[in-house]
Amino acid sequence: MPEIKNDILNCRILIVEDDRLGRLVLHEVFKQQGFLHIEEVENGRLALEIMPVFKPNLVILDVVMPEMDGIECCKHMRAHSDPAIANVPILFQTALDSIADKARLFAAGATDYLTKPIDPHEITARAVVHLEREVMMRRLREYNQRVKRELDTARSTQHLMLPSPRQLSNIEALHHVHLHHHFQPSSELGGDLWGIKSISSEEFSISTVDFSGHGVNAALNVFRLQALIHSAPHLDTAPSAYLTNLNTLLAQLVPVGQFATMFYGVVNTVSNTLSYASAAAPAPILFHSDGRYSALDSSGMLLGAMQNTTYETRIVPFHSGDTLLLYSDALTETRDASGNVLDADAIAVMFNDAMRAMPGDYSDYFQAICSDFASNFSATLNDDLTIVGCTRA
Amino acid sequence: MDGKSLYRAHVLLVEDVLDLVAINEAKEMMKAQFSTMLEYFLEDAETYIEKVREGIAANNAQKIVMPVHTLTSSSRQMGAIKMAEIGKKMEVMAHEQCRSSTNDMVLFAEMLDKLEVAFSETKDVFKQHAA
Repeated sequence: MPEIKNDILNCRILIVEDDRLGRLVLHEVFKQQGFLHIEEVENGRLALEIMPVFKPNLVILDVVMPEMDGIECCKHMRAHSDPAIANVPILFQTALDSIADKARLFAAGATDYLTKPIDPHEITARAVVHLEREVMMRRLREYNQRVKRELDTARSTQHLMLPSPRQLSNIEALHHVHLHHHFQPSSELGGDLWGIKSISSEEFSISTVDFSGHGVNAALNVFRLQALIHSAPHLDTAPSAYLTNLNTLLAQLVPVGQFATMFYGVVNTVSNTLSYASAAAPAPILFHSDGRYSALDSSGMLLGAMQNTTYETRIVPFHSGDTLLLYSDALTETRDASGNVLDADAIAVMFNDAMRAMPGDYSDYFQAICSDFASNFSATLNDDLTIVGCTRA
Repeated sequence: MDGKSLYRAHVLLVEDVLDLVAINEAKEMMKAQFSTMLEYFLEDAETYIEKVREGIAANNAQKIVMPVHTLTSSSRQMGAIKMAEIGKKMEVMAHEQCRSSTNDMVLFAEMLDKLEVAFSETKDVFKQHAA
């Protein structure tokens, strides 16, 4: 018999057997192998009573017993509200030898069985196999729980980087705009970010960022970028200089092969203009109050991909009643169940139709479109999705 | 019967009643606890036989199932092959009668007699050869 590891010997074994001779044999076999925590009870009812206290890692269960037999006990365990009891490996020991009897054991939830009389080598080997698996599964569950807790914390932190409802209300009141947004990471953490900031009583900036990839790696880059933006106030300059400066800083930080697309625009509510620069962001769509719409030129080098990149400031009219729609490429690259994707034209038509169907009710049509997209594309969404709408009142 | 024949009869009796290989394995497995194991077996076998007798007296096959099952199982574990064999037959018969809702105790009474003889032989042989 190969040496049994200490973490297996520390596992708790519950023997459920009505015959004291059978209990003695099993106890002695496990004791001689070095198992440290062995408990015995005489029937299924007593087993169920002791389990929440003893918390066995393996149950050796006899089939024919008074008060509650092994099969009944097994069914109760598998239906138990405590996952530690519901999932514990159950090794039946049985003198029953027909195929139908064995099938009944597995139908009740048996992990394995062995036939009496007990062979010490066989029962030890099987117990060790099931305990090793149980220990591995327990560690995996603990690891998953820890990772989930940490990801939950990271996700909360990431959500704090997005504009708060209070910030949005302030911007809306100060600059007479309506703002709506949809942010949907494809996994626990995302590589998208958007922001809005009042520069003066006449100007505010609006930006979207989408890092390559998604998940933890992309999220770390989002944190890096956010730190750069907050630690470098000189970035609040013209859009071209803003992206140029940000690119210089970011390119020194992110590993080769990691980069972002970004849109940075400044809305001037006096000159009725949108000045913007783009680092290969998906083409924003500008809807005019007269029903026309156009996709903006968003060409430009990727952000953070290389040093010494410069960006161009472009200026377009942005009047009262116009809407600027920004989005990440998940909107145009995600396929629905039939394999269809939305292109910029389809998005523009979709929003325009919604605007005509619900004139003046900006909030409803924006949410309707996001819900529509979510219902058709969410099942296949494998990238982070951000949609931001800004309408001048 | 000469000494040689007596010896052969005696050897045959041991082999019919006990599986000496199984007993040696049990001794190896249980070490110092083997004597406790034997003590439990001999004490509990009497209890199980008594319960079978009660089941027969009550004309109730259902009451026979559990004691013969446990007795068969512990007999196998102990290497008491003759008791295990009779016990298994009684267990199968008890299950069949439960399924068919019959309670024919004549056969059970005959087999109980055989079981008690086998138990007596087993005790003797254990005392002489295995304890």
